[in-house]
Amino acid sequence: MAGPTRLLFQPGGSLIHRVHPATKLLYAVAMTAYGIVLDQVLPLLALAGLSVLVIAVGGVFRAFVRTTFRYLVVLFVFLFIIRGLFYDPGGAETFSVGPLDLKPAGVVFAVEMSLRITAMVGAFLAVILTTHPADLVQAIEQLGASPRVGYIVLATLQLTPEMVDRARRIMDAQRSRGLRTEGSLLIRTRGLFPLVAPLFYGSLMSVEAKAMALTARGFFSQRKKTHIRSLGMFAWEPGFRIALVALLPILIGFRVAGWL
Amino acid sequence: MALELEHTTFTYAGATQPAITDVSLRLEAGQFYGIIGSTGAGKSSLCNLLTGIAPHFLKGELGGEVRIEGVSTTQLSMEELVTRVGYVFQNPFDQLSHVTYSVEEEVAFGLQNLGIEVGEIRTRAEWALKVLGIADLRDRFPLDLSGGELQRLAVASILAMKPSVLVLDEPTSQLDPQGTREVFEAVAAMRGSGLTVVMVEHKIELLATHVDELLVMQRGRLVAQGSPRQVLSDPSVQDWEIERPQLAELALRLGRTEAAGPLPFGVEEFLVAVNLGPKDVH
Repeated sequence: MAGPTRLLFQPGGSLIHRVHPATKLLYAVAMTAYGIVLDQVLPLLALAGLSVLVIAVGGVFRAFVRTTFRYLVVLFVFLFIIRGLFYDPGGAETFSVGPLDLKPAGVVFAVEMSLRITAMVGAFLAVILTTHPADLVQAIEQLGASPRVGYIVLATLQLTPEMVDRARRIMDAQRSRGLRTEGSLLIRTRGLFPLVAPLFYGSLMSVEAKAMALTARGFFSQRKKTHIRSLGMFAWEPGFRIALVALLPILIGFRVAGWL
Repeated sequence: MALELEHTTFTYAGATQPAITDVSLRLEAGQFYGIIGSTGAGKSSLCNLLTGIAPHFLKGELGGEVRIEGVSTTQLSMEELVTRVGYVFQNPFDQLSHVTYSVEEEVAFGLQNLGIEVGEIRTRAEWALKVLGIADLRDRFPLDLSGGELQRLAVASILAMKPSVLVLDEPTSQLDPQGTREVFEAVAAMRGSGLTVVMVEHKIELLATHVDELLVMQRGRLVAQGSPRQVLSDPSVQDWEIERPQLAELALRLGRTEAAGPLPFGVEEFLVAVNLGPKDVH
């Protein structure tokens, strides 16, 4: 049997946990849009800071770091090195950090991109980490989407830890048969091949079994679904939703005017 | 009559050979049936046909007819089928919805899909959890349960949908002895409730002592049906590529005769069958 995996959702009673899932989804979409519109370090820093603040208020900062941010940091480092070394639209002077000759424009680009990604990913993680999966499915359904769409999105996210577990088990099994997975980049890359096929095949088999099980549990029923969990909403949420939407054209205006 | 197959043949889409060939059987309401057979004998395919998963979900060519409570499975939608026949699979992990956070919510998942009213869902969930002996786990996170508890949760989730037939395909294949015993005891406890139970299982010792009838599958065909003692006493057992329970086999090899009583499945029966009293065993 597959080993125990945890859902991404972290139960809790924080303010963020109690906000209606649709409001949180709108917040995540709005933060993504803001991230696309904003273009300078300071506004993006504020946006990323807000995103992390919401995560902290939700009491899920550690889960955010554990599940996502530590991987993002690796991406940021690569971004910093690659862009810092090679991105040079204006041919400006370089500055040195240790053995590296970095280009200022590239460094600024890497910082902006890192902040943008933190804001966007952080906003969506805040939703996923603080919202009961069933509530999110229900909210997506209330927004007019098919319950199947909501379920597929959620189950895919929730099954990510299972995929990680499965990959680890396959890797352990291959190692016990003498496969080398540690050492140079070449050795590590070679070690990936015996992992991919069983992971892919095993996942496909699992998907079919899950689809059959869902069929047997009436998932594809045409009847209107009921929900044993009820969704609450704070009095201020409708106004907050309007503000989230209204802020977008304002930011676009500021950007066009050159104030951001 | 709960289930009937009439000259049923089924070939999965893309396959060249039928998985089930000319099977006819009748399963009475309220009885407990065990299906045995070697790997590839067609046990799971038979389950797929009994539940309507084939040909509704697993496509293929169906010959003959499969009837549930007198109605052909091809004339029923999957939605109608799931309220008549419940299906429990091998791996309880694959049966979880993965969007619930408590045992009670997991049981409610299928009922919500069917649009059952919330009060009724809670009543049914409570009932199913009690029947399976896991009511005290209702607030636990499903993935924190042991294998046996998880499989009992899977059975409860299906039972709550109030089917008249419950089909279990090797529900203990991935469980340890403790988990296996838990599942068997829970399923056996449902006898007498009017529910028809059909279970595929390799653990012949356990199956033989619990079921009313055994069905033996071999290479897609039903080769025997009868009480466990009837079926396992048959000299053709080896031809069917199945094994008797160890004590029964041992008694036969020690020269147990018909006059010595029924084919033994348990230790006490074995001692009687080979003319040994408990005092003779040290």
